[in-house]
Amino acid sequence: MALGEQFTDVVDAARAGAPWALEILYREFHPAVLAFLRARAPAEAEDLASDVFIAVAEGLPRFEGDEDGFRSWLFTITYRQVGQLRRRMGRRRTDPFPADEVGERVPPGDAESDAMAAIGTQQALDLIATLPPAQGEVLLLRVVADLPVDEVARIVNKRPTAVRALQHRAIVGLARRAAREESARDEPVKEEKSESSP
Amino acid sequence: MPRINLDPQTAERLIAGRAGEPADLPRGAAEVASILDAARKVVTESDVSRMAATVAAMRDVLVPGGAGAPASVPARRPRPSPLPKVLSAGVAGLAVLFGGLAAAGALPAAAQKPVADLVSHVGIDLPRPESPAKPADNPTAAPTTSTSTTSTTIPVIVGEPPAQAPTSETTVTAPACPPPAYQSANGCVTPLPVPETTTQPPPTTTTTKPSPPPTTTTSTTVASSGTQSGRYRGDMP
Repeated sequence: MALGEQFTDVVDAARAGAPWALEILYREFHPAVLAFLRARAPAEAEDLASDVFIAVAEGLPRFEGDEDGFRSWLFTITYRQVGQLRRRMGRRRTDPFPADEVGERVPPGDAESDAMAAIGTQQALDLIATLPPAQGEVLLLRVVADLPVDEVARIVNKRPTAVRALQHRAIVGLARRAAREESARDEPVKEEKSESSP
Repeated sequence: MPRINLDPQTAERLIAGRAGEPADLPRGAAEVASILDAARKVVTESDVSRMAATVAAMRDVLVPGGAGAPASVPARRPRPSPLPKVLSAGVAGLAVLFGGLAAAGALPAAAQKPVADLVSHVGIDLPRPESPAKPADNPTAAPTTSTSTTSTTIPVIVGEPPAQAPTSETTVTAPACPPPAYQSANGCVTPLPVPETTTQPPPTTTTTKPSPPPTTTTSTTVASSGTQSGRYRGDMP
């Protein structure tokens, strides 16, 4: 859902501090920002999302552009917030993610298709969070923030070809993880079949 | 571990949400499509638990000091009614008017006496009306009073002792004009006195050229011309 033609009026009112306009911007863009942050910094996602919107308010009087430009600018701020958090907490490959929760979060299903169709949003973000940071960020900016390759390349300060390579590796990585999960679910079934056969 | 064979074009279609039918996808692509669809769905789930606090913080940034204040036009203070001021001014004006009239004894006799009696309690002595004399009873009183009133202009003349201003109580004939005043059709008229010889003392702050002593001619000129005493000096030709 996009603001469309009312975007300019909403931003103008938001610059003047109108609460209704700020609420519209929050409702429109906060879910995507929070989804990105939940995948990159689950423990800090809520606080970082608030910081992102306060930073948006600080820069809003100087912002010029349309809705796509606003979205790109918003996720530039979000991406930098994650980078600052990462520098504060030290370089880590991924955020802490309890290994014993992985099995619990993947929904058990009777069939593969049902299991994958029933995957929740948080589970999807958790799977993306297991990717290497560069791949996960590119994939989130493409899918969650709905940004084109060129904008993602500008935000992560890489060439578009590098971004395409990263997103390709991210997709392959997700497919492998999904296959691994599938194999893990199939193992008990095979064991049961082998035990029941004479 | 199954082998995953996804080309970049398929990856781009999966990211764009144009994967197509799962049956047409290579192995592993259908699962990835499900994961990405679930990730997209999260952007439609709005979390408003922190919205109020975040929006208030944003408003604080955009409008410093404006938190909690409505964005609309501030309420106006009700304008005070001008009636008390008008009444106060009216009462003050009437008090000044009647006070002045009472002090001058110009109030009607029916009002002058109660007013004089009232203010006498606070130590103010106002003229009291005597028994009113009708013009028809004493036809000679009117011109006499008029003459006395005219003579009240005399004390403005410098050097003249103030004349006794007769009040309305004076009903006797006007006193003879004291010399050097003389009686005229408009009452007593006092001729202007001849001014005394006014010799200006020499300036005391003269530096090099001493000012000449005043001469008799100067004094005479001053006395005769009157208004030109300061323009000419004794050393002028």
